[in-house]
Amino acid sequence: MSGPLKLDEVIHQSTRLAIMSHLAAVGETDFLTVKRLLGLSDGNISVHTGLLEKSGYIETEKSFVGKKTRTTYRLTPAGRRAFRQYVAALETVLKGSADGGG
Amino acid sequence: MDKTQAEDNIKLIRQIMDRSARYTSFSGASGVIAGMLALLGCAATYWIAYNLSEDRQILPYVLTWVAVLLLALLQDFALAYRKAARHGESLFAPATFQVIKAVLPGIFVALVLSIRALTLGELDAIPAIWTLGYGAAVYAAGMYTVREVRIFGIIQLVTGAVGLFFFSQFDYSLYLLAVSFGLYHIVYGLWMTRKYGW
Repeated sequence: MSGPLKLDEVIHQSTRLAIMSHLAAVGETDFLTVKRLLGLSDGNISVHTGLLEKSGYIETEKSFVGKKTRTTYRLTPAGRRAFRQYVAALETVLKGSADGGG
Repeated sequence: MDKTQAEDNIKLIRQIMDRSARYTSFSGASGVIAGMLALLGCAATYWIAYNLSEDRQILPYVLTWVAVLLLALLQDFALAYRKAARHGESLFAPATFQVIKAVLPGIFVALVLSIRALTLGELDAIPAIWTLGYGAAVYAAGMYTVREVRIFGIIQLVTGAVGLFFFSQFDYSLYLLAVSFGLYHIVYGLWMTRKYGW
C-alpha cells in the first residue's frame, strides 16, 4: 500500500458505521427499526441519516401508514460500494499490522 | 487508525449485520400459520376425546401434538430462511444458534412437567404447562430480537399461570390451548406483519 491510508470519513463515524452496517445487511429499513435495533435517539438518527443521504449513500423516503409517517431508508449502489471499500480498508489496516507495519 | 481500532470496527460491523439479519428473519406469516396449525390440533384433540375410548387416547394425543409442533417448526424455519435469503443473509448465523439455545430450557421444563403430569394422570394440566414453558422460551428468544416478541412471551406466561389454576378441566384446558397457541399466534402474526412485513 502506497501513501497514507484514507478512510471514508462519512462511514468511519461510529453511529453512521452502525447505520451503514445495518443497511448493508438488510438493504432497506425504517426509522423505528434503526431506533430499536441500534438504540439510537431520534435526533441522532435524523442527523446521521441526513449526512449519509447528502453523501449519496442512502435514499430516504417518507410515506404515510394511516396517520403516522413512516421513514424508509435504502442503501444506494454508491453506498454499497463505499461500504465495501471501507471494510476493505479496515482489512488492509489489519493485514498491514500483522506484517509488522504500523 | 491502528490495528485495535480496525479490529473493533470490523467486530462491530459483523455484530450489527448479524443482528440485523436475525431481526428481520422473524416472519409474521409464520405466526399466523402456526396459530392455524394449533387450532387444527385442538380440533383433532376434541375429536379424539369424544370418539375414542379413554384408554386409547394418549397415543393419538401425543401424535397430534408432535405433528403440530413439527409442522409449525418446519414452516417457521422455511419462512425465516426465505426471508433471510431475500436479504442476502444466511440464517445459519451465530445469532440463530443463540436463539435456539435460549429457548431450550423453557421447552425442557414443559417436557419434564408434562411427562410427570401424564404419569400422574393429570392430563388436563398439560395445555397450561406448555403455555407456560412456551412463554418462557419465547421471552428468552425475545432477548435477541424485537420487543414485541418479549411481550408475546409475557402474555403466554400469564395465560399459562392463570390457566393452570383456573382452567384445568378438559374442555377449558382445550380452550386455553386454542387461545394461547391458536388465537394469540394469529393476532401476533398479523400484528408483526403490519409492522415488519411478511
